[in-house]
Amino acid sequence: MSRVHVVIAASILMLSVLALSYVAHAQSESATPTAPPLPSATESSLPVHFWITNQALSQTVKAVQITLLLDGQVLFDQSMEVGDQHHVAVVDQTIPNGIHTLTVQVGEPYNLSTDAALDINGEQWIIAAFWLTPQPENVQARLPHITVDAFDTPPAIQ
Amino acid sequence: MSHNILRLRVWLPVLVGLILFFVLVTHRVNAGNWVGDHGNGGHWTGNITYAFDDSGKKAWTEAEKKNVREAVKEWNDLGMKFVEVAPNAKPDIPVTWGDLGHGDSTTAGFTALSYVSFSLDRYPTSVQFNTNMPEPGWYIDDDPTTDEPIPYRKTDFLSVAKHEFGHVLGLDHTDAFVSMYPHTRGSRRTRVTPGDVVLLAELYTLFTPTPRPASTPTPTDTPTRTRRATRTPTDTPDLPATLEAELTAIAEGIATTDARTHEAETAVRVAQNAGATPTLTNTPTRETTVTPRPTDTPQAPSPTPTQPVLYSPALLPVLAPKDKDIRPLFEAFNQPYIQRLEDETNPDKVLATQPISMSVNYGQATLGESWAAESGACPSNPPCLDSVVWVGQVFPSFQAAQQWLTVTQQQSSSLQNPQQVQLGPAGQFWDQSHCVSGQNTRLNRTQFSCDLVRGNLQIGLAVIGTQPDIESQITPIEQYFSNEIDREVQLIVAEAKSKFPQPTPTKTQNNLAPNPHFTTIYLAVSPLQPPGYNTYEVRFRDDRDANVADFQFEWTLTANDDCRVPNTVWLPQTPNPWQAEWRHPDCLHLPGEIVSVEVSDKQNNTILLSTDRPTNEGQYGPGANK
Repeated sequence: MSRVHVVIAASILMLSVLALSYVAHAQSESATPTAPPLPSATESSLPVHFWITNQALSQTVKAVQITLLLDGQVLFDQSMEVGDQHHVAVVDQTIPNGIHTLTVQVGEPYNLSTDAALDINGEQWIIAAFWLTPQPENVQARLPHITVDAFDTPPAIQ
Repeated sequence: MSHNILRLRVWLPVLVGLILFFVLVTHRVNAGNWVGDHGNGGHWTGNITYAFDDSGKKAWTEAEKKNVREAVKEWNDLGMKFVEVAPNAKPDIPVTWGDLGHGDSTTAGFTALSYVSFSLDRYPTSVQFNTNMPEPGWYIDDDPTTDEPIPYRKTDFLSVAKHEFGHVLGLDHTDAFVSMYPHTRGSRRTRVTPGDVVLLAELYTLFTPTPRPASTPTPTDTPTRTRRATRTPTDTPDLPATLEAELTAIAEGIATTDARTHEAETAVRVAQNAGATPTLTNTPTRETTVTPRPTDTPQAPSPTPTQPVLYSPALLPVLAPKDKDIRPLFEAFNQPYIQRLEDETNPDKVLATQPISMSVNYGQATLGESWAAESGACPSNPPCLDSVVWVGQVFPSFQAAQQWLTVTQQQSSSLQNPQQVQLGPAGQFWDQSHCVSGQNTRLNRTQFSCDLVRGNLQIGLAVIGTQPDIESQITPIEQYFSNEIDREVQLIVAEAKSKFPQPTPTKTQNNLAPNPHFTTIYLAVSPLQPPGYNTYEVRFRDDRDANVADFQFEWTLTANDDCRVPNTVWLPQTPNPWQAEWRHPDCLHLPGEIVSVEVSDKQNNTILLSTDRPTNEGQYGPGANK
């Protein structure tokens, strides 16, 4: 190996180290939590079951796109039919103990989004539901909305 | 001939096919008395027959049947008409066991629907329960008439049965934690709740006054645009005969054909189920005593009866329509009502030698309001008041169910021995000392204060005294509305306020201007093994510097007997960022509780008020986690 090769190899190595340190630095900055790190977080992970259901009733909208993000990472992103209140999509995850942010989004034509903080300290079942309930003419309509409920025992569809 | 036969061979199948076709499309198989609403649901108009069908995956045990019958009874107690029949009697709803799957999202129960021919309408045809529930499986209660904790991870069969028969009635799912919540809820048994009453009221009217003579509505399966059926209230509480004339006059003033009246009446049923009100007996059915009016404007009450009539304050919610001025009722029932109350609350003083004078006042409070009442100046020696009794009704005014009410203690140094008490759940009649009360020794007044955290309340104050012309006043002393209140509630509040003009609140209001410095508020409910005494935690943080202090942190947990703990804590300063955490370890946590958190400063300005069902970790507050 010539000196030229050694110099080139050393340069590549230095550039790699610099690039890695830059990426690590950038990641440490971007990982700054928007929510305060609360003291209950530990390193252990726990099973969490996300149930996603479209409870909307509408004769005009056939389906809506429902998206779940956990700490910004997409967990679920599917179109779910309107009118089938007894269908549940299940996403099973193993999640580190501690506080996490669950974001539930509903797409066109409603364009809703809601955040919920999850305290993962045991096995949990998280039910995210989109609701739209048309009312008779003489009853005040409720706005379309999202609910997020958490249970520490397994639910069942009924 | 052969030519004719040939033609017959061609046309006969066509003819038979046409006949079969018309039979199929016009015959609503097993639809019973179901009335569809062009795809918007429907309801039943007559008895709904059901039968335990053993032809499914397994036969029914007596314990299982007992649970289903209890579920049916709860609906029937609201005026529905489920009738059990033999399996071979062609029931409207056969109830069977089936294999509904066993997996990540198990179905516990299922109500099958069928389309009415040539229609968007679907009607319920059967109910199935899953034989294949994951371990540890069903909880079949030996005594479903009582409530006890559901064994961990078991599925309460009674709750699921209640839900499925709700579907049979035509109810859809709802987001409130009532019977029609789409999922089972672990340890929590579902009972009839005001939310169920509200849902049912949208489909059925239980108390619809009809002209005399009474006529029984004829069941029809003709689709109709209206979602409400006229029913004969043969299962309503009977009233004393001497009240007929009185009721007629009152009902003329308040009779409506909408769901409000139904709701008021079913509220009584809820109370009766809870054993909170006496049972009314031995009178004709109400349908013969009232006349419908084209308007629901309250009319002037009839003259006060000249002779005392014994009846119960339970009549008031029977007659009081939702969100309406119940003053005519109180005024009309003034004398005998108070007389009766006195009998109930002062059994030793019935027919006291001193003449009893009294007055009745009324008021209406809505979400976020505080109400105070004073008996008026009254000499303490001799004492002018024997007792003061609150009467009223909490109305299930909006769909979100389980609106519970909490009373917070007045900060009044002049109140002696204030008591912390709690109103009942929405839809339940309540009376007697449900608010903070005490004697203002300086002014010789008896004072009360009720603070509604959630709900809609019409309230009456009955004063029993020994001096004539004791005036009572109910004055709103504080009111504020949170930006967390949903639109539906605000509309109800607006309607109520238009009917009852309110004085300008005296308290400084600024909760509608969120504090931009609050970044995070966590409301946590530790999800330990229910039921049990768990820890509630509230943590919040302010991005301002460490000198932020003097925040009054007040929280109130409601919806649970063990959590009626309004509390106020002055938070200490913490290092930057300002952050605090507070725990209340002595509350029994069950899923679905409604929790509110209020943060205010020492000037009593509300900085943040949140009301919501907590998840295991809820997050509230302007700018939260952004």
